[in-house]
This record gives sequence, C-alpha cells and structure tokens, in this order.
Amino acid sequence: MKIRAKYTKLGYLKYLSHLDLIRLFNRSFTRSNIPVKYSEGFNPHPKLSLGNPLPLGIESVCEYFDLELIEPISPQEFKNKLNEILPTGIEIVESYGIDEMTPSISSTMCKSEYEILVDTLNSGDEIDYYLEINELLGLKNIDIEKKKKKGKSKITTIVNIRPFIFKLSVENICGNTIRLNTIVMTGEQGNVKPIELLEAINKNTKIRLDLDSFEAKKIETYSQEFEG
Amino acid sequence: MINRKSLDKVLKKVEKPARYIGLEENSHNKDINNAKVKFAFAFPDVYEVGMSHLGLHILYNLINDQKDFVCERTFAPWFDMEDQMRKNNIELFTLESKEEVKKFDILGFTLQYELSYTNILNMMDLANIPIFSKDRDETYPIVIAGGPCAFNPEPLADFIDLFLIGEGEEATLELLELYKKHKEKGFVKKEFLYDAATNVEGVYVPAFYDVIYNEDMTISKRIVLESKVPEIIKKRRVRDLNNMYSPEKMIVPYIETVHDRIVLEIFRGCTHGCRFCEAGFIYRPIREKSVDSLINQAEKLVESTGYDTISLSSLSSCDYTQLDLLIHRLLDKFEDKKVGVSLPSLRLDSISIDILKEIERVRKTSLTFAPEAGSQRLRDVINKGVDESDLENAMSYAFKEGYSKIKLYFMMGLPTETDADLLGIRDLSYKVKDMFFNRPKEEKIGNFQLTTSVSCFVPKPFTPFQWCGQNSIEEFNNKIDLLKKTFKDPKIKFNYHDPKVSYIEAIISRGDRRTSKLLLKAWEYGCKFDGWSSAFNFDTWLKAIDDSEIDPYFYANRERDLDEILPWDFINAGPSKKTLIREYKKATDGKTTSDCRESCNACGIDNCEMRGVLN
Ligand code: SF4
Repeated sequence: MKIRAKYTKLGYLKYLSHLDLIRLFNRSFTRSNIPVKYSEGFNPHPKLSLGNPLPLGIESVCEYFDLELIEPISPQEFKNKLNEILPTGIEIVESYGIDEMTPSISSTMCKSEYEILVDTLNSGDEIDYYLEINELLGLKNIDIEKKKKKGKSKITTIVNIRPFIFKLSVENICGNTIRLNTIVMTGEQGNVKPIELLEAINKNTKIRLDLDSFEAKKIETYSQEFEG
Repeated sequence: MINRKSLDKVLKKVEKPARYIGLEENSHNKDINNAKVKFAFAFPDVYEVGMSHLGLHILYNLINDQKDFVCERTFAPWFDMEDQMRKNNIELFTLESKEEVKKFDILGFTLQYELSYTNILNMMDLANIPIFSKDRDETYPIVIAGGPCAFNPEPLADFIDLFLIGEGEEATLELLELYKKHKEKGFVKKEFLYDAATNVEGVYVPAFYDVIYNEDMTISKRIVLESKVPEIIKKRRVRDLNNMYSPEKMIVPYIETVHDRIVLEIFRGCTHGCRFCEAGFIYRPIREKSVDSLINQAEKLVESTGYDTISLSSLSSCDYTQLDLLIHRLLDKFEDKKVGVSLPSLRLDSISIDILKEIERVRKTSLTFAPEAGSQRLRDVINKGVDESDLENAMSYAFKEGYSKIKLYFMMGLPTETDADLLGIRDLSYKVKDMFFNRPKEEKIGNFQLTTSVSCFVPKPFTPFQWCGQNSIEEFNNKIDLLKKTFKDPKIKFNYHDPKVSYIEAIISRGDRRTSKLLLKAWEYGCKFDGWSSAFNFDTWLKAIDDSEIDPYFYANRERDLDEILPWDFINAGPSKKTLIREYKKATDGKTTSDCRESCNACGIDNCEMRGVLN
C-alpha cells in the first residue's frame, strides 16, 4: 500500500533541511510502529519520497510525502499515530491511499502560493506599491542570478523568472510592513524562491525592501494545469 | 528572553540554523519560570559535537527529572552565528527557552578537551558575564566546570568558581539542592561556595587556595586559605552503576551529528592500564552494568528515540564480561525494528573478531585498529597489551570477511622512542598490505586501502608519563619526515597530526594557575575553536605565549623530577602517586603490568569495587 500525507512545517522547524526532515520522518515511523516498507540492499531505508525541497527558513501548511507500507493501515490511524510522535510545528493534516495512477507529488505541487511579510525601507507614501508591482509584472524579462554548485565550484547563471510568476500582488500595507501574495513555479521546469522574487523587486522597481526582515509561508500548491 | 524577531533574522543568514533552534525530540518543555534552580549546561564546542557527548544526555535528563530544577543547553555558536549575534546584540542563550544564559543560576561547562578552553572564555563574553571569577558578584550565575579535564583544573582556576571532580551524577544533584537552600535564605556567593567546598565531596573552589612558587618556577607549596576546606579533593565516583540514574530518553538532534545513534554505556573504567591514557587511570575502577538493566534501558531508548543503531559505549567495550550474551539479546529483541548494534572500539584479539561477525551482518566498511606503537619494545613501554600476532589474526579475519579498508592508529613521541620504533610503524603497515596481497586470488576481495595515522603524544596528568617532556615541534617534524620518506606505496595513505596543535594541548593540559594568562591572551587575540584545524591559528598562539610571559618549554617539553609538586597533586583521582611512579619506572625498564582483572595490582583505590569481586 502507498500512502500520501500532507503536512505542515511551522515555527522554528522551518529551519530543518530536507535531509533533516527525512531523518525525522524515518525515526517517527519506527517510533509509531508504522509498517513501513524498506528498500533492499546493504543499508535498508524506508521507501519514502518527499516533494521538491522547501527553501530553508520558509513555513508551509502544504508539504507532501509518499510512503510505501508492507501492510495496509487506515489513513486516519496513520495520521493519528504519527501526530502523536511528531514535534509541534510538523503535523500531518491529511492522508490518503494512492496508487500507480495518482500523479506524483512533484507534478501536483509544481506551483506554490506564498504569503510574504516584508519591511520596506521607503519612507511614508513616497511611492505607489501597487503601481510598481504592476509595472514589474509588465516586464518581459525579469533576470536574476542563480548560483549553482557544480562539483566543487559554484557557477552563476542568469535566469529570466518572469514566465514562472503567475501572480504577485500587494495585499495590504501596515506601517512599514507589506504583505504580498504570490504564485510561482516551484518545480523542475522552473523554480522561484521568495527571496529571489524580493530581490527582483528591489532591482527592478523603486521599492526598497529590507530583505533581512522577510517572512514567508507557503499556503497552497497547484498542479501544472493551474494558470493563475 | 532574547528578541525572537532578531533571532529569526539572524537564523536566515547562518549556516545550519537548526543548530540554534532546540525543540528536538525529548528536549524538555518545562516552564523555566517555575524552576527553583536554573542550570545552563554549556558545551564549549559546536552543537553537533556537543550533542554527541553522552555526559550531556545523562546530566540533562537527570536534572530535568527533578521537579525543582531545570537544565537547558547552550553551545559555542559557530563563527557566522557569533558574528551575527554580536552585530544584533543577541546574548548567548539556551536552546530551550531562548533565555539569556546570564539569567541562569548556574552555568556549567563540561571540559572534554583542552583546546576548547578559549571557547569557554568566548562563551562567557558572549553571555555578557565577566570572565574572571573574582569579578562576578551575586547578580551573575555561579560558573562551574566538570568532566575529564577538570582533573587538572588549575589553568582555568581564575575563571571558574567551582569545579566538580569525577563523575557528576550524584554530586550535581547535591550541588543543586545546596544552591536551592542558599537561594531560599538569601544567596551570598561566598557562603554558597564555602558550604559546597566543605560539604560536597569532589568540589574544588580555587579561590579558597593559594599557590606559592619556587624560583625555578616549580610549585613550592599550596596554602588552604579558609578553615575546614579540604586540602586534598577526592574525585567522585558512582559505586553502583545499576542503581545509578541512567537516562531513558536522549535528545534526538534534527541535524546530523557526529554519532546519530543510541549510546548505551555498558561500564565505566578500564583495566588495561595503558600508560599514556588518562581516562584509564582517572575512571578506575571498572564498574559494569548488568545485562538485564542494559536491555531494559535499550528498550526504552529505542522507543523514545527511533534510532536504528545502538552503540555499546565504554573505554574498551570488548572487555564487557557478558558481551556475547548482551549482543545476542539486543539483536534478538530489535530484529524486526531493524535496529543494529555497533561497537565503537575494537581490540586486536579473537573475542572482538567473533563478535564482529555477529554485528556487522551486512555492511563491510572499514576497520580500525590501534597498535599505538610500531615495535613490541615500545608497546611494552606504554603497556599496550597487543602483539604482532594479534594484529595478524585480526587482519586475516578481516580480509577473509571482505573488509578491504583498514585504518591503523599510532602515536609518535612516546617516551624512550627511537628511530627503530618509528620505522616499525612503516613495517607494520607494509606487513598488513602484504598480507592482503599474498592471499589467494579469489580471496582478495575489494579495493585495498590502508590508512596509517600517527598522532603526536601529549603527556597527561594522572598517567605514569605525567613527568615526561613532550617532543619539541622540531623533533616531531623530523619524525614525520623520516616516516613520510618511507611510505611510498599508493595503497597506503600516511596521515599525521599537526605537532603545533599537540604542543598547545601539552602546555595547557599540564598547566598551572599561571597558564590562565595564556588562555586569556589567546582568547583576546581571537583564538577559538582551536580543536578545528580550519580555525587553529598557531601564530596567534605564539604571540599569546610571548605576551603572557609563560615559558612553553617549562610546561610542554620539560622532564619533571619525580618529587616535584605537580599542579594537580592535590586531587585524589583514585590510583596513588606511588602507583604512577611505579608504573613510570616499569615503563622505563620496558616491563609490562597485567590487566587488573586477572589480579589486583594494588593501585591505591580505596574500597575498590573490583577487588574481591573477581578474585
Ligand atoms: S585497586 Fe586493584 S583491582 Fe582496583 S582498579 Fe586498582 S589495580 Fe585494579
């Protein structure tokens, strides 16, 4: 049997890396006596697959993993047993059986919606944030630098992220804090991190955001078909 | 509590932020405001190193199991984090409540290696606590220290208020109870320290003593400044390990640490009496836990951690009397949970080999052996009870079983060492290689790789070599050159430790109160994380040595007279000084001393648990 679970990553646990998370889940399966299927070979490990890694330091209420089991267990029981063990901040919110026909996690969640809070360094009502963002979206090219590790050396490539932004809007402004909502591509074909979006705003508009201050939370995921 | 918004900001900028967040499985969630005594456990190294230390898990759970006390953890922030903390005015804080360390009642450092001492000063500074004991009044925490290096507390005497010598389980609780009593009646630092020094065995308060020196810089005498304070400090030892507190939980770090596994302590002490090994002397006598209580504890630990490996920990785990039984019962018990057993240290003998067969069921990784010296003569001098046939047997087994990566550990600069002994390191290494390639073709399994690692000997207090001078850096370098030239085989990798690091370690480990000046200067000049080769800066240390006007030769390289008063002589670590002298003389004569399981060697321990048990 294969089970898919939707879980949260909140509070300080947003600082857990992808690998830390896998290790946490594996230990939790052992502790909650879940009949996990192990891989063959020298070093057996549970057959667990997670979606694309969430950037470090970003919260989420909609992460997913798939797990293979050697004997069936009710999704409800699965969820309850795990939640008893998992630390506050990581919680299974939903789980259900899946089969070969179910689309993979990476294809179901290749677009992500983020809510972002960030302080601005512009004073007073010096600029029109709504207008600035609209102008940004009007651009054909929004180029950012991406650093990639290739072996030991780091290489920098320029990527146009405009095609990967499906939504970007100012929700409200409270004091010097701006609340943004955005839907971006987060998959193999294209990947935009919240910080890259903010950097692009600083580079291409008159808005000056305090990048150190940003807090982001992933609130929804969408499949390939979603057009924004 | 520190400003959480600033912390959040900072965490986004540092490498491995999960080092600083706490919230791990089995960390406590007590309300620290309800605690009568708040204890901050400080490990003067980075999180991953500290969390791999068994003592932390024991004391943490021991204290938090008490209603009135709370224990929280703090570690040395890595360079990037320290930088951010200083820029954003974040003081050193504990992982659990994110509370400033300064607001705790007691700040307790564990002393595992001398090269972490600069981190201690740095952590106090980051906590906004004055570094010198004399500058801290009642508004600051009492700063205490314990652990193996506390057996020579003198280099830190100016900075630490109180040392606990020996095993901490019982003494820590006594100390916390005493603190509670004093807090209830109005806390006066000196009164508390005096009460602890006179009523809690194993407590050493440096401020109650003075040291007078001779003109040649050696110690003339120690003076007790307060009445009734003990002249000799007796180390604490837990007499019955089965009834001792042993944790049923271990904090499970989110990030990968040095050892991601259950650490099951099977006994304390060691009977081999290797003459270079401080732990072998200060943790005597050997005291075992029973198989039943270990199985019991393992069961609870597996349940509470979810780890898939149980590591049987001690100074020399193959010595456990019922090792076979223990391993079988553990493997049986956890078979369906896929929990395996591992042994951190192996001896070169047949018992180890049979056991290895049991536990390494699947994975063939590398095997490590430590002959320590290259010739039989020198192995006799250091009382390392293995010979070449042990090594041969172990190797032929290992090769037969399909191990092809072997590591050999040696030391250089051991007392009486000659070039012939050193070349023995080469000979043994080549012998191992030849053994592999001389096997029949079908038995040469895998890709052979031998790593021969040589470290620089550092003479330690409470060992028979405590009087010996360490080789100079130049001597070490000559020895390295000699060896390097002889290793020409691509199948053998020759590694050696940096003599500069061992030199600094040697100065501190046999230092006295005057050595504190060196530590202070080194820290002021920016030394920290000195145990990390990426951080160790020898030139800065040399400048600190110059400016603190200590004579490094006096501490590191000088041969001491047997009747000299040594800085740590006032501590009774178990084995008597007479025993150490006897062992020293036997070493120079190349005579070995047998394992005291076979017959008691009368090392001077009072009421030894071993004596009479096996004889
Ligand atoms: S007193 Fe005897 S048995 Fe006990 S540790 Fe010393 S030598 Fe060994």
